[in-house]
Amino acid sequence: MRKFLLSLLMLVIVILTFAAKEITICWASWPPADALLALSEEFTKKTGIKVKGLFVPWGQFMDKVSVEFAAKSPTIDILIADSQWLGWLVEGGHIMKLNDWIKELGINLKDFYPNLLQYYGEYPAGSGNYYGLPCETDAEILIYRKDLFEDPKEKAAFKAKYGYELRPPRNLFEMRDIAEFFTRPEQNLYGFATKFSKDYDVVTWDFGWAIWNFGGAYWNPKTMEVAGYVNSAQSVAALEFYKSFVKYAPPGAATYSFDEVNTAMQTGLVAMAIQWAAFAPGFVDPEVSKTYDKVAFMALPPLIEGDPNTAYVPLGGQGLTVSSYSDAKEEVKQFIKWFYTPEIQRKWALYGGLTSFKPVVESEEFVEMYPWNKALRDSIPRLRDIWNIPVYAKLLTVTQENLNAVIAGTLSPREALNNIAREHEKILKEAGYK
Amino acid sequence: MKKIMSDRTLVLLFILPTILLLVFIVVYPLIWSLFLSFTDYSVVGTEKPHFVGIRNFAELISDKYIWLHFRNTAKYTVMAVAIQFFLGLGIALLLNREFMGRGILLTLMLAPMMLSPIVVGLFWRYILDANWGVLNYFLSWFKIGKIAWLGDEKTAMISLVIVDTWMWTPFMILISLAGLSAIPKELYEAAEVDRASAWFRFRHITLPLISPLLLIGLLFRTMDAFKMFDLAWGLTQGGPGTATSTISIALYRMAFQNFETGKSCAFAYIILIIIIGMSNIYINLLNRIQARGGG
Amino acid sequence: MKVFWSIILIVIVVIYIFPLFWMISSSFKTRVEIFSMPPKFFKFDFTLKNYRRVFYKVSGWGKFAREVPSEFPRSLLNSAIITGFSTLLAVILGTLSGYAFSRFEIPGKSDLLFFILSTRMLPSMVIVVPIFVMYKKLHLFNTYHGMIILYIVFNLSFSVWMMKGFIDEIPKEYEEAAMCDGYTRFQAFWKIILPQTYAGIAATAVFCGITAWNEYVFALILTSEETKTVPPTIAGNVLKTTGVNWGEVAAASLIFLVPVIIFTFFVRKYLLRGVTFGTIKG
Repeated sequence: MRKFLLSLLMLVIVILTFAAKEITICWASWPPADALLALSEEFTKKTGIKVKGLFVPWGQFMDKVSVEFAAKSPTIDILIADSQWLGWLVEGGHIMKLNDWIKELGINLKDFYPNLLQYYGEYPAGSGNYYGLPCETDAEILIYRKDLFEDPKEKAAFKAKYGYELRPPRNLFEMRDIAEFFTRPEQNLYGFATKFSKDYDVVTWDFGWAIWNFGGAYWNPKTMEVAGYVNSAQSVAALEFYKSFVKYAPPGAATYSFDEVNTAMQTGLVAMAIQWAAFAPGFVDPEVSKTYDKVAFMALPPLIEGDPNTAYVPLGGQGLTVSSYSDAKEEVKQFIKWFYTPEIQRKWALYGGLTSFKPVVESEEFVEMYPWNKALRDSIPRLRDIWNIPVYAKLLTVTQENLNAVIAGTLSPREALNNIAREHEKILKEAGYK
Repeated sequence: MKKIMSDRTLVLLFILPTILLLVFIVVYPLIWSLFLSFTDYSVVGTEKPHFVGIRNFAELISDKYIWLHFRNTAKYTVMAVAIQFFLGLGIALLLNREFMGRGILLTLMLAPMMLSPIVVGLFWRYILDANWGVLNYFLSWFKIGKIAWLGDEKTAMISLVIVDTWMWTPFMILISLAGLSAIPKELYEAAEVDRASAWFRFRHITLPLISPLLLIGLLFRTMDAFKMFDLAWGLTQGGPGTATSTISIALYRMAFQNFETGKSCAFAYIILIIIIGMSNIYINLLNRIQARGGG
Repeated sequence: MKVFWSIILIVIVVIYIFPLFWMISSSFKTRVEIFSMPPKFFKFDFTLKNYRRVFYKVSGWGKFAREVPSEFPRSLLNSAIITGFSTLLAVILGTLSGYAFSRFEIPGKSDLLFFILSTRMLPSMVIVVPIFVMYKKLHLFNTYHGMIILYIVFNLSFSVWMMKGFIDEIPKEYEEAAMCDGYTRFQAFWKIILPQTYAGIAATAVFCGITAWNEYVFALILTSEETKTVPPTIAGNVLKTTGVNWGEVAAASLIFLVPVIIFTFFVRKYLLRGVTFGTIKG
C-alpha cells in the first residue's frame, strides 16, 4: 500500500512539474501582444503548454526588461524585443544564440527576408549569428482620407491650385502639397500628422523617411563616423523639409506620439498621417474611429519616384528572442517550432500580427486579408533600421532632444544636427568604438 | 499599586517600533545612498560599484540642466502655493456661514483632493487638449484662439499650476475653514458693537487667530509642492522639452530611465541638503511670525 | 451685498466642480463622443461600456476579439490590502508614539520629533532609489509586506505629529486621577485617553488612508503585476494603440474614488475637529 501511494505521489509530482511549465512572453502592452496571446491558445491546445503574457506599457517596457535581466530573473522566457535592443541584449548575455535551434528545428532562413533577419536577429551585422527571429515586422505607412481625395470638389480645387490631379502622393513633395491643401484650421482640419514627440524613439525613427531619402544618414555603421553624415548638407536639407510639415499639423503637434497621431486620424482632424502599421487596426474599428470607413493605406512615397535610393522606410517592430535565464527552454523551443510554420504565420497575420514570413507575405490572400497589408508588403524590401549597438540609448536621447527642439522651433536644423554630430562622436569615443 | 509594566518599559514599547521602522526605511537607505553617490553604480549593470570620488557631484553641479530643474520646481511651487493660499482663504471666507446645502457643497469641493494625483494629471490632459479639450472650447466663446496648453513650452508650466491649484486649493479651504470655525463669535459681536469695518474685523480678529493654522497649511503645501512628481508626470511627463521638468521628474529619469544609480543618489543628496536648508529657514520664519502675531 | 457674494460663490463652485462633472459625464461616453467638437455636455449616447472595459479588456482584434479579465480587480484588491494594513498600523504606532512623546520627557525628544517631521519633507524620489536596491536584495520587492512597511513609514510622521497634538490637548490630570484610583499607566491610556482621541484617530486615518490609497511613485517602482496597486495600473493603461480612451480612464478613476468618498463621509464629523486640534499645537 505504501509503495503504491509513494509511486502515486511521484507520478503526481512528475505530472505537476511538467504541467506547471508555462511560457511567459514579455512584450509591450498593445494589441499585437494581445493578438499573440490569443493565437498562443492554439499552441496550448496542441501541446498543453500554457502561455502567459507579461505586457508592459511602452513607456516602461525597456525599464522592466532591464531590471528583470539585471537580476537574471527566470520570469521572462520569450522576449519580443525592439530591434535596437539587440546590441545590449547580446553583449549583456541576456539572450540566447539561436543558430543551433534553427538547425535542429529545420527552420529555413530563406523563408525570411535577408534585411529583416539582419535587423531583428543578426549581431553583429554580417556575423551569421542569430539571436532573434522576425516576429512583428512593423513599417511606417501613410494613412489617408480617401473620401477627401475622391471628392470631386476637392479634386477640382486641387488641380486648379497645383496643376496636377489630386491622388495618393507619388513622392514626398506631392505629399507636402496635399498637406498644405488640406490645412484648414477654421474647419478643424489639418493636412498632416506624424510623431514629432521626443518620447522614447519617436521622432528619431520617424525622421528616417526624410533623412535617408534625401541622401543623408545618422552615421556610417561600418566606420562609426557621425560627423559628415548626420550633419551633411543632405541631412540638413532633409531636416528643413521635415520641419516644413509642422505648419500643416494640428496645434500641439510637437508633442505628438503614437496615441496623438492615432487620435488625430480617428477623429477626422487630419487628412494624412504617418504611423506604424501595428496601429492600423485601430483606424478601421468603428468603435474607436469616426473615420473607420473613410481611410486607406499606402507605403510611404519616395523622394523621387522610381529611385530606390530615395525610397527608404523606417523599420519598426520587434523580433522574437529567448532569455538566457529562462527555465522553460524546452517549451520555448516547441513554441518556436510551432510559430514559424506557414500555417501559423498566416494565422498570426489574421489575428492582427505583422508577419514577414515570405510564404505568407507573397501569397495572394495576404493583400486581401486587411487593407494595410499591401502597404506592408510594399514596404518590406525598403525597410531600414538605425542603431542597435548597446550604447544606442545615449545616442537616441541626443537625437530625440535635438530633433524635437527643431520641431518646437528652439533650434535651427543646422545647429541641431551639429549638436548631434558632436555629442555622438563623444559618446562613441567614450564607449570605445573609436 | 500593582504595576504591570513600568513607565520606562511602556515608553520604550510605544516608541521603539516607530523609531526602528524609520531607521530601517529612512536612515539606512539614506546612508546606503550616500555611499552609492560616490560610485558609478548602475542597478542594471553587472559590475560592482566603483568608487569615483566626487565626480558625480561635480558633474551635477556643473550641469546647467540641473539648475533648470530647480528653477522649474521653485517657479511652480511659488506660483501654485501663493494662488492656493489666497484662493483657499477667500473661498473659505465665503463658505463660512450657514446655508442650505453647505455640507454637500463642502464635500463636493473636497473631492479633487481625494483623487489620485496621477489620475488628475492624466485626465486634465483631456481637458487641456488643444483640439478636443473643453477648456479651449470655453475660451472660444470669448474669441480666444486655440491654445496648445500642454504642447507649448510657454503655457505648459501655467497648465501645471492650474491643475495643481484645482487639486489642492480644497486643502487650504479646509484648513482655513477649520481656523475660521474656531474663532469665537463673541469677538465679532464685540467688534460690531464698536462699529468696526469688515476690513478691521478681518485684519485684527480673523487674521491673527487663523494665522497659526494657515501657516501650517502653507508649510505642508510648500513641502508637498516641492517634491511633487505624480501630477506633473501624469500631465506632461516633464515636457514639452524640459518646460515642466521638476526635480523629482529629473531624478526619476536619471535613476529609472538612464539607470545612472550612483549619480541619482548624488542628485538626491543635493536635493536633500537644499530641502533641509529651506525647511530650517522656513520653520524659523514661521515660528517668528507665530510668536509675533499669534495668540 | 449678500446676494453679490452668493453669486460669486456659486460661480466659483460651478467652475470648480466642472472638471469633476466632466469626468463623470466622460465616463459614460463612447470614444467617438469624447472626441467631438463642440463638446457634448448633456446630450450624448449614454453607455456603460467604459465601466465594463475597466474590468474586462478586449484581447485580439476583429473577429478574434474576445473579452478577458483585466488587471483592475486584482489591483483593487492589492490597493485595499496595502492601504488597509498600512493605515491601521500607521495609526496605531502614531497613537502609541504620540502618547509617549506627549506625556514623557524623553532624552532628545525635540530632536526626535524634528527628525520624524523631516521624513515628511523627503521627496519620495530621494529614498526610492536606495530602497529599490535594498528591497531587491532583501526580496521585499513586489511583496505585500514590503509595500505595507513602506506605506506605514510614509505616513508615520504625519500620524505621530497629529496624535501627539491631540493627546497634548487632553489634560494630564485625567490619567493621574485614574492612576490614583488604581489604574496602571497602560490601563489609564487604554480606558481614559484613547476614547478622547477618536476624532484625532479618524482624521489621521482619513489622511493617511487617502495618501496611501492614491500613492503612485513607490507603487510604480516597487511592485510588479502581483502586487501592483490601482494608480500605476490606470496610468499604465493610458496608452493603447487605439488611442487613449478618456472615458475608460474616467470610469476607472471614479470607481477608485468611491471607497474614499464613502470612508470620508462616515467620519466627516470628526474630520473638521481633527484638523483643527491636531495641527494647532504643531
